[in-house]
Amino acid sequence: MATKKSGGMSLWESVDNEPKAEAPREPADPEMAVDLKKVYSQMKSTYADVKSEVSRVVVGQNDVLEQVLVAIFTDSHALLEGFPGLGKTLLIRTVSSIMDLKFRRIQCTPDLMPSDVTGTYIVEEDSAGKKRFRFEEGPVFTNILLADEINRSTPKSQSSLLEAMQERQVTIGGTTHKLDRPFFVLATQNPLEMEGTYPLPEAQVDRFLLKIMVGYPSPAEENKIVEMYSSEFVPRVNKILKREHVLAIQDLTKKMPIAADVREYALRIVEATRPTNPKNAIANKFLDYGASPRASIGLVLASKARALINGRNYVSSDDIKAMAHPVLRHRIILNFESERKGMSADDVINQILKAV
Amino acid sequence: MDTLEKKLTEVKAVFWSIKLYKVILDLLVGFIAGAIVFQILRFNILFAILPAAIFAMLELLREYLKRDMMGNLHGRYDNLEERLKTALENKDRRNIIVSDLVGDVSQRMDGIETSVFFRKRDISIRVFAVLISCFILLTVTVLDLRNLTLDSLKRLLEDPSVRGTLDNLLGDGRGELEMFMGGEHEKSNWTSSEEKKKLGSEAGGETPGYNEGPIAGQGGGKGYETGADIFGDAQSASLFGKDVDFNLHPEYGGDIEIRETGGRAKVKRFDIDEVQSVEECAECVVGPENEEVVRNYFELILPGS
Repeated sequence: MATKKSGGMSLWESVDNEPKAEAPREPADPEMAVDLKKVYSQMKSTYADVKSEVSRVVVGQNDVLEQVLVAIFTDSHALLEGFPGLGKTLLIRTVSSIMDLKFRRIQCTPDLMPSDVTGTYIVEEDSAGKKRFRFEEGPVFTNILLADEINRSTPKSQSSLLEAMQERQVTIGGTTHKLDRPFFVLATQNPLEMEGTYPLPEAQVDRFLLKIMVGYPSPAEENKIVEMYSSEFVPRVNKILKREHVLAIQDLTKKMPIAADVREYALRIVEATRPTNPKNAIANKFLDYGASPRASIGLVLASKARALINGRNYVSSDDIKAMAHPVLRHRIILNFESERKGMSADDVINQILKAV
Repeated sequence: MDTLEKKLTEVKAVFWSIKLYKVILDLLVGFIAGAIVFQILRFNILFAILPAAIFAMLELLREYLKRDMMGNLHGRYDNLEERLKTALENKDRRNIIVSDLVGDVSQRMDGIETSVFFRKRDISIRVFAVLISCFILLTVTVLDLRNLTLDSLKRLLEDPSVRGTLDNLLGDGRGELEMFMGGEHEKSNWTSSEEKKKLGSEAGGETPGYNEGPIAGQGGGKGYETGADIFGDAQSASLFGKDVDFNLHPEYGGDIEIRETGGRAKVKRFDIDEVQSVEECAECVVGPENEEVVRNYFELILPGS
């Protein structure tokens, strides 16, 4: 929940010309709140614990879990895509449950209004009978926001998330409300039933650090899923990550060192997606648009988080390779040639990884 | 200098000393190879140091430009290259992960074995090349190749001790060495018309081993199993299990090609009218006792018979 308590506000207070930015409510320095060294030294075991807890509810999907955690630990947002029934929502709910964080969910539908996301002013009568406007916070005032089936909401409602995702703040009626840290949006969408959906605009898709593809489980995993959920089993998970821990891990992610060679490798991969450069043969052949510098930042950051959760103290080129697909797949736009050949964004990225 | 750089310097020193050793071996090989050439060309072999030194300098430059110390480490020590680079580039940053990384890399570098830079195969090849080229240089110097001509080589081969050794090496020595040297034996074998008549398929070969047929002294073709094919050697054929001597007269019918394939005879360029019986051809060897056999044979193989 946002720490901003806008409280009662008279109507004219709310129509000031200049938006009033509230004092940032940054948490105490995470290094002060928790012992960073301890968090760092336990990182590998923490990740193992998280996996263990999540596996009580979600069977398999280790890569998806790793990528969701990467998004969380880089203080970013993730978009999960997969067919219905693969456990996208369940996974996000479970991850939220093991973290001692506030969690809210929006079930996106075409009639979802922006105010349903951000909140709105409501008229309230005080004890003296005087009517005042009070800001009623929307579900966006939380730590983890699950926007389920985000492509079913209208572009207007989707856009209401833009400021929150990028700036970590919401401006309503001239007043800017800071969101609490950490704040991340984990959205889901499915590639089926495109009728009645509103594909996310490029600008909004770009705000998601990762686009995570959720695939089918293996036969053995599915057998276990059926066994678990066709019995009296009631999945329960323990909270193992406090808010301070999450903030400390986010801080550690930024501290993760990376060699210039490895960073340049990441940049070369992103550069290779841009058809504007005539030397990029694959991009020129298969892509209309390439990834932006935000993708470069995201790729390096995601690789750092991956290195951290795997208990390493440096970023390797394997991290870059592993994160290239989720970081780039929603940031490149295929051209007619690749669609004619039935190539996906992942196929093009594979070719780029081979070439670079 | 911090711990990490100190350890890196130590490793680099080992790396370069091994590289230097390799270059010195290259220098030696180059010098000796040059000396061999100079010795043959009657130059002073000390001049061979110049190309060898240039070669060694180039090799050293190549090694310096390549500087694959990390590459050597990479194969043996998992991801040490990336760790080391990251640690070196970030060593001035002060945070717990970098401190941990620097400590980790320092510890790993302690465990690096110098053998990782030592490519056994490369060194072995060079040492072997030095030995071989030394041997060649010595040989060239002792033999004094400046005076080596074809005549001197011939004289050497005529030396009784050398000749004896070569004879032993080449078997019983009959003919081979003389042949090599152009001796009398070769001439008597291949130029005497007397001997030539007795060799080959025409004469049957009195000399054992020269195209002799299964029946000794009866000619090269005599005694070979010819089956239903009258062609073997021109002198004889087996028809219906009976051996018949032939004299072929090309002037009567030109070439005769009769081959039996798969039980049927194919006759080409053969005219029955040209075949004459013994009564009409006094020269023919096929006598009256064989006439019927020959006639039966040709009737059998004629198309449409």
